[in-house]
Amino acid sequence: MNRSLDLENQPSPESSDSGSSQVLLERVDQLRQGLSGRFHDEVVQTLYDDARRIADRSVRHQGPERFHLGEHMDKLITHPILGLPIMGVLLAIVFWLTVTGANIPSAIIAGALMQDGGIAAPLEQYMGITSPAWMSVSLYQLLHNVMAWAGSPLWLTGLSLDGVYLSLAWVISVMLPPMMIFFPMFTLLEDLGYLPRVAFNLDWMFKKAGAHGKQALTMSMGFGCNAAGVIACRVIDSPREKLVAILTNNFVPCNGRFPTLIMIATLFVATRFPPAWSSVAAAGTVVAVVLLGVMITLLVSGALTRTALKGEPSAFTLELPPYRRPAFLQVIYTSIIDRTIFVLARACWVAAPAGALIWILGNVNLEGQSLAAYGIRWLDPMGQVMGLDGVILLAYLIAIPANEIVVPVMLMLYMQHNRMIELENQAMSNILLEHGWSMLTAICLMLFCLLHNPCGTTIWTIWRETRSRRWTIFATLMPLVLGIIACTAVATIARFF
Amino acid sequence: MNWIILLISIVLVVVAMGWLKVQWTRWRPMRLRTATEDALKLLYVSWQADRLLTLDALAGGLGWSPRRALELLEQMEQTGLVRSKDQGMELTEQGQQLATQITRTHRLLERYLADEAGWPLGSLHHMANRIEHQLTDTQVEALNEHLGHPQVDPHGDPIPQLGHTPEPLLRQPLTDWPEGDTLAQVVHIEDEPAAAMRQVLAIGLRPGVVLKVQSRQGHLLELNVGGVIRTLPAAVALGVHVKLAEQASVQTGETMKLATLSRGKTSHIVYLADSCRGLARRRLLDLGFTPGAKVQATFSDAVGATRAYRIRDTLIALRREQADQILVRPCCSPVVESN
Amino acid sequence: MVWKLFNSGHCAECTECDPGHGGNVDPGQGDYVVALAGNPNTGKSTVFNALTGMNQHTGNWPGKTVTRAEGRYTYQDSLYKLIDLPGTYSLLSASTDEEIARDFILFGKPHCTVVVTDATALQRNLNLALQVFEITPRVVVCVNLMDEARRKGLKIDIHRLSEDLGVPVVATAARRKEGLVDLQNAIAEVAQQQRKAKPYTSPAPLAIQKALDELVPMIQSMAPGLPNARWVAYRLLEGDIHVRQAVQSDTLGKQLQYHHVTVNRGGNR
Repeated sequence: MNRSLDLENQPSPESSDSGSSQVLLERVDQLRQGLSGRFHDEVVQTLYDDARRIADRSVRHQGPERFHLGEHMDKLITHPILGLPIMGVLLAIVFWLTVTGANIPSAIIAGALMQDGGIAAPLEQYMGITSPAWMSVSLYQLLHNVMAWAGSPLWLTGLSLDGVYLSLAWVISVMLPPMMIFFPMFTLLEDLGYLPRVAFNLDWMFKKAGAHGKQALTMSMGFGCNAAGVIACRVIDSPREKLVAILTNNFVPCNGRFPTLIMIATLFVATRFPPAWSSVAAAGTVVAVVLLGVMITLLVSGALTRTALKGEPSAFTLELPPYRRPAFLQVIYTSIIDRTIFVLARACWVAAPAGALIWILGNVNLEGQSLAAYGIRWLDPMGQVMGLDGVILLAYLIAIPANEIVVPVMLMLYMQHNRMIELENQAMSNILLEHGWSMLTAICLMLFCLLHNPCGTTIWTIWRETRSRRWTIFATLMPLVLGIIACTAVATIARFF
Repeated sequence: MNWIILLISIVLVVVAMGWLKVQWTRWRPMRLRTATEDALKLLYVSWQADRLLTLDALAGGLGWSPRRALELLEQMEQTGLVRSKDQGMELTEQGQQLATQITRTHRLLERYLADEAGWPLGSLHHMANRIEHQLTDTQVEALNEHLGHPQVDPHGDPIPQLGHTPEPLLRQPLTDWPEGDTLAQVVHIEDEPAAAMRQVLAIGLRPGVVLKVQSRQGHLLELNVGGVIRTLPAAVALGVHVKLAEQASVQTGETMKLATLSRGKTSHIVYLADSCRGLARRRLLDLGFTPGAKVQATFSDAVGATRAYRIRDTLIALRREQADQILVRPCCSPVVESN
Repeated sequence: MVWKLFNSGHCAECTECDPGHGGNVDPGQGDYVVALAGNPNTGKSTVFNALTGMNQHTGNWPGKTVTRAEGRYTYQDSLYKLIDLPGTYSLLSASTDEEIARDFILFGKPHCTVVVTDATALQRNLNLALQVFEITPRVVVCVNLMDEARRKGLKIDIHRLSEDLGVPVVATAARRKEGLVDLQNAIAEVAQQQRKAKPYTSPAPLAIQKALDELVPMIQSMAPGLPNARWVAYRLLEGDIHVRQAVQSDTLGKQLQYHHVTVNRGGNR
């Protein structure tokens, strides 16, 4: 019974005014008792009434309003039947543009930074430009020669160039071009006022799941980066619904995971379609995976709000701003500075040490076998059960800090090549098929790509936002467990037939 | 190899036993404190009603056997919290202070859980019971500040002020309310038994809701809640306490819920229902949903769960539940917002 | 679990929300600090970008995960630092955004606060302006999106608005770079206190007025020269924890009498 009884007499700060401030606060408390409980109501109403009176004195309607496109657009975009399909199509277009548009710049950057053949090869292949001989040397080759000339020991060259440098080069060439396309398009939709309409269209689903309508907004931020999505969850006032949004944000694939999805879709799905349709099929597959992610988000949110985070849905108010012509230059500026550079810098910070680690794993031998081989052998049984293999699981383990490097790590492990390099589509699919990949592996990998633990930054951000170790651990393990279950189920069913 | 396993298991067992001991020593006084505080809450209520608490009532309230309740009371008497008087128990001055404090904590917590954590009204009491014992006084005052000094808890009971004698409550059970046009306002909903409370909530009764008792048919009460006729068993209605409706709330005239306004129609806001509280109410007001403001209903989503409203030249989307709490009077000219 | 829910909101004890460190900006020698407030979707960031151009950087508000944009521009040989506050409808409630905006105007003590308003929804936006008036008299109201208003057939009498509000009012269309020089000029006048503003104050509801009449002199005697005693009284009555803490620790008067000294530039990157 150590409840102190005299909490009113807390030690007051030593200052000459402390006495009078104490008197003031006590008087405030007394006066408050005399006021009605509708204090806020009265104050707000007075303010709004005054604002309206003042505005009415100086605003004049002059002539009829001209045709306003916005109201007609709203009829279409928030149409009860057409609203959702329009959204899906827009999403598909954004992905398609990202997939097709990022190809060439990616190849050029990869050429400049690391691929044998330099910039010359992609320029030749995509644009038919023949370049001078000096352009067919990549920075990687150049650095290699410099190191050799300086007489650096093999391990140093390996660790710094084949490890750190190559992983950085990979991350930049794979991430930068899609982000430069995806983020501005996304910011454009945001500026136009479309995203709030998406939240509006989807609200009833989230309401059924017991979650907040603005969760749709935080999810769409998650497409860019889950960490950013988690931060965006602060727009939700209710702590309970905010937590639901934070915990489920990982179910939308982020930019770092799109390369994996796009690669699988291109190699295993697109090849089954005629060439003219292949990029559409790839985009369609990615959209399907995204929609699956949205469904899982809704299901998990629903499960959470019916068990651990029970409660009544809180108030949902959302402004649907008028459509405005976006300021294009500003959009490009802010999306490049605020988002692209930020996300890229983060990826680079993580990729550099990861690259060193991969190199060490692949090159340090124990009893004639590399450390990586041990890991693969150890993880393989579990991988097989899940329809994957040890290499994929090890790649995901190594890529916890940043998901972007999953594909290069995987290829490196398959080829025992000791360094990460990018390959042509055809060569890449050959290698994968040689290592026992099938359509099942592709499907399970896409599933696992959607359902696994969040990346290091996201985990850290979740901790920072929730300040709870338990919820952070839950947010980390829950998707992983779901992924293992889903992959195992799919693999078992597929083998059954 | 085996001895390593053995050693590890021994260490583990020792650690586990130490941990259990610590938990036990922590738990025992905790349990006593919990029981004392629960008893104090019951004593507070009888103090407020100006009657004595009998041993049976205490045992019943705690769900204990009379023998255990007696043990507890003896302990409390020793620590100087209660004294026996006539046939029952009465709080001492120290007991009054503590009872006020714990009741205040309980009701503030309920307020927090309802308004900010979004807990359903039915499970507030239980949840608050679980955490109230772990709060320090500073935390309670911080909570009070955070909530903006609320006056009543979600059930409609006043949140006691420290050092104040509770005022007797001016309210009566719904079963005692006369039939006819006298408007009653719900001020309190008893949270136990839980099944009864769910039934009350299910027909839309909340603290602040205004209603009329249409008729009494045997064990059934026929109520007029906002123009809709609902029935409630008298046994359940016993847990609903009402008082004469305040003038400000009696504006039922020709108002309708904003959610029922048909598309394209314009209306004036008359008032926000009393059942719209806390952060939700503040948000709506801050967005300009104040009495007198003009609102126009516009498009809604695929299933009609969410709708956009034009208010003060801006489109704001609300869920149906919220629009239900905004009472409006339809008005003449649609579409053109005359400033 | 419930504890975590509570803590993830705005707890009372955390030092991060301490108003004294609520994101002050070092004004530097001869510099002026200008805060940009406004409702969401009023083109506030367009105004910000139009004024600062490329001279800006983003960070976070100290201890918060809310993005904070800061920029600068020079006008008539003086350097102006522009802080883009989060867009809010009101300053009265307790959401993180509103707290940041309010704390900065109150404790960060900008030399001038620009309230960016949407010309097509003036009454909604003036509500916020009136709330800012309660905190500081050093305000410029920027009626933005004038192009939008013209398109809608609205005519806005800027002079009359300025007279009614008692502060400088500038019409802009930031997207078309219209009225920016006027805005910079108005900011300079207010920041350098060349013009004494007497902003309009809404009369309080009757019952509250009585309480205010009693409290305001008490507060003024505690902190002489306080420009917003009435607002402090309002906040105390409503139970604003930050203002209450400031009164308790007696930082209210000091903070507002002198220029802030704490430096916490560029957030916590």
